[in-house]
Amino acid sequence: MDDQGDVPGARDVRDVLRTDPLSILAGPHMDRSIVVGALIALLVVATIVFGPASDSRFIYTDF
Amino acid sequence: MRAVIPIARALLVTIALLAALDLIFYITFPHFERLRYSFSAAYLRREVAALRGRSPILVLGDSVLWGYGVSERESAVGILNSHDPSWHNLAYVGGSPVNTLAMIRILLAAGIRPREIVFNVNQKQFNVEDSAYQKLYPSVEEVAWALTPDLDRSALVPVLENTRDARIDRALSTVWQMYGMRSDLRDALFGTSDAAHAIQEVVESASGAKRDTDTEHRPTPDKFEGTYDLTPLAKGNVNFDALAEIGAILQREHISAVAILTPTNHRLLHDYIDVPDYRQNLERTRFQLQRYGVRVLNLDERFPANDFIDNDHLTTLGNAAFASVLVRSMTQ
Repeated sequence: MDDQGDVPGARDVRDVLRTDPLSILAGPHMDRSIVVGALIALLVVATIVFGPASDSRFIYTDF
Repeated sequence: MRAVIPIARALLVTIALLAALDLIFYITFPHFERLRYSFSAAYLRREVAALRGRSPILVLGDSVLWGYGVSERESAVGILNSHDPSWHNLAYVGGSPVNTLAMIRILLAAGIRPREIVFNVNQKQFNVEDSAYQKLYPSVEEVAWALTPDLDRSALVPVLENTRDARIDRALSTVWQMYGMRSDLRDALFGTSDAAHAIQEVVESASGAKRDTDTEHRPTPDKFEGTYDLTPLAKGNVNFDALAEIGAILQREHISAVAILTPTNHRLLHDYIDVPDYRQNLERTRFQLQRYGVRVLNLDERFPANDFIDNDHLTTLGNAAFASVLVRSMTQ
């Protein structure tokens, strides 16, 4: 514990999250645009896979 | 300006990743043994494209040949396919003669030359009160509409919306396979239309609600009152006219075909169909097809009541018997 009651390093993590959260995924050298682009692609795919079936293709009530 | 460049770069990365993923998806997404319960136009186009250069025995028709109530492998066509991979099931839940005609148009337009076409004709689909009468399955309509002559179009009731959103959706589906085949993807992953319904089914099974629903839907004769219309079949009935068109096209294209008069549970439906009018409609159906050289296999009364789940869908044993009859008729 430091003098503010945090475990060692906790304040560093909070600083990173506040100033440059993408560095957690991108590391110090990777372009942040690539990370953002990949996250958007992931979000789009997740929406397609887990989205609700609003496109009701089956329209008949009996068969 | 400095802020725009990273955003544009991020969007380019998104598009590149989605395009690469889409290519992998298109190549690796499985070809199912039969169409899914709810299949997309994109999946249908892909299945038809996969038939190019082959000479399959194509099965068209409704839920009876699709194998409603049994697994893909247990369905009659699934059994036949396990012995001879040239059997290919393109029947679907909601099929009918107008749908079979549309599918034939799609196949011919894609340059598919089947060795044989096997399709079923179900008497209940001639009923003008049937919810599927005059309608194509939405995905089939999407692909077949442009191939359908104006005269035939005028006899159909379009089911696809023509709003701006619907047109954008269809355009996007033709260029982005994963988006176009999202219903097939969800069905493959969850066994139902989406993740929410999959969770709902698990909950209903666990709570016993599903058992209660199944008991409620147990087929009894009263549930089929009005299902079969015994008005004499004649020109003007959209599905009866479609049979003539099917026959004419197959004759013109020199494609051998077998039409099955659908197995029907006569014990369950005794009060409605064990009458001369029904048998005369079967004969009219047979004549409508035979005059174009289509071979007709009358299986209407072929199977006993315990081979059925309901009025026309067969049990696992019923499907096995159906497969035996089909293979024997094909070798005759």
